[in-house]
Amino acid sequence: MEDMQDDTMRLSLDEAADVSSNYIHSRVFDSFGLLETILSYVDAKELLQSTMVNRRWKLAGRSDSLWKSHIQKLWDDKVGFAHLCEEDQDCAMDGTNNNNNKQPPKQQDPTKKPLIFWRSLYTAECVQKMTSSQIMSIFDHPLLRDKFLQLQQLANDEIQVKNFFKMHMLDIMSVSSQFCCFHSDICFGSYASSLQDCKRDVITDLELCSPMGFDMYFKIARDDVEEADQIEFAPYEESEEILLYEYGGGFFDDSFDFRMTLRQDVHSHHPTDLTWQWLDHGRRLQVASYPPLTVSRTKRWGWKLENIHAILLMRNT
Amino acid sequence: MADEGNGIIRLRSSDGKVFELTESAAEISELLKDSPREEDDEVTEIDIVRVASPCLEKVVEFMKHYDEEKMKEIPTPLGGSTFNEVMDQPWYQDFVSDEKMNRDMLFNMLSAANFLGIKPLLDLTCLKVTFQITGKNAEEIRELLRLPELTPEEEAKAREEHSWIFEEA
Repeated sequence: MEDMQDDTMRLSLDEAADVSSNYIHSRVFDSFGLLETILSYVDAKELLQSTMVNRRWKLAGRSDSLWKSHIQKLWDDKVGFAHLCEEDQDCAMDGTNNNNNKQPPKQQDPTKKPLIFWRSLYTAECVQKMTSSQIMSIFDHPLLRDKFLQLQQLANDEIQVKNFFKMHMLDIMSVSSQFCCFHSDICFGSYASSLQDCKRDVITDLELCSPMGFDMYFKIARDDVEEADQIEFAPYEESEEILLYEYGGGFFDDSFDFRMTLRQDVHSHHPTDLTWQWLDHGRRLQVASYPPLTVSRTKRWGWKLENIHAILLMRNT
Repeated sequence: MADEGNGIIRLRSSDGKVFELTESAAEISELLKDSPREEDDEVTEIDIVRVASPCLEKVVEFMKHYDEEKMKEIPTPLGGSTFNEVMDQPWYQDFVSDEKMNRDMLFNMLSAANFLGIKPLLDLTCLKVTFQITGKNAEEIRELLRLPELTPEEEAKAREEHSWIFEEA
């Protein structure tokens, strides 16, 4: 008799368990920590998917602690930095993004002062690659200017500017977050903006005048080079018939005071006083009357400028 | 009062079944560690009202084994691309293997580990769930975890907000 009672009790418990298991599944992640632990194990791709599961997952999956390492990894082997040209450019994550696949990318006007993307998190590696003037340009915004007056006094000391920036990175991000993102998803937003920005095919003057500089190569037909001398040439990835000869010294060396002007008439000066000109809204560049250089991106998010005679590659790309 | 680690702890599940383990085995549970002990009594009974017997039985099995063979900490980022690569201790591999533990049980264990504050068990079950959601898209994750589906409006909003995820990286 007792046994039977036990059995019926177990049965009803099993049934109850069945009914409640759906509930348990959906509630198990409500307690803080479980989901966070799981998400700390997955890679960036999985993490992206999990931010779309539901609201709870979205909040958990966007936390800075998860994305900080991913954004650092993303930029680890990259050159350059992410930024947008216009402030009114859609903010990728604020829900107003209409820059989807169907529409052609918005034309950017390279004559406008580039505004570094507020949503970008500048990793230590990335900041290291910028000049103090580039870093200063990040602060050139009404909302930030007053808060960082101190920085103006450091402006001439590159190392101090960099240190200041690194120290106050989160402050800066939180100020900028007031108008476009939540503080807790800065790294996530940065990842998103980086992935979008790496597809940008318009070079900005900030990048063109980057202190990283470009290496310049002349294209030489293989037939014109003695076999014994070919060792001094670099291969050209698009054709075996052509070899690349590196121009000594580099083009935009630091020793040249090379500055692009930002005025509407878009003229700027070559180190040797030749005039640069933007063509096709920044997709091509022309130096004096030389054939225009076509602008494209390298695998590591650097830039390549190429015409029939020469190739300019952003250093370390 | 019993000597440290020599006492016996009896855990009573929500359906009234009792499981026994040593005090030292119970140590890994924050909840049990902090539970008041009966004075001058070698045996302490604790009601675990939130955990049913099939699950509690497994949890106790875990605690007993952990007392003999500690589970290594799981490093992040993970040092492998499969569950068994990351968790290289056979007993722990076997403990949460698909044959031994179905999905419902896994989630019950996760809840129980969380409730009882057993970090190694939490890590192990979380790791298992991690590999279950690996390679799945948002919809498949929802299905797997039986999470409520999004309404078409929510779905559309999510897609719009995350359009860059759907582009080729």
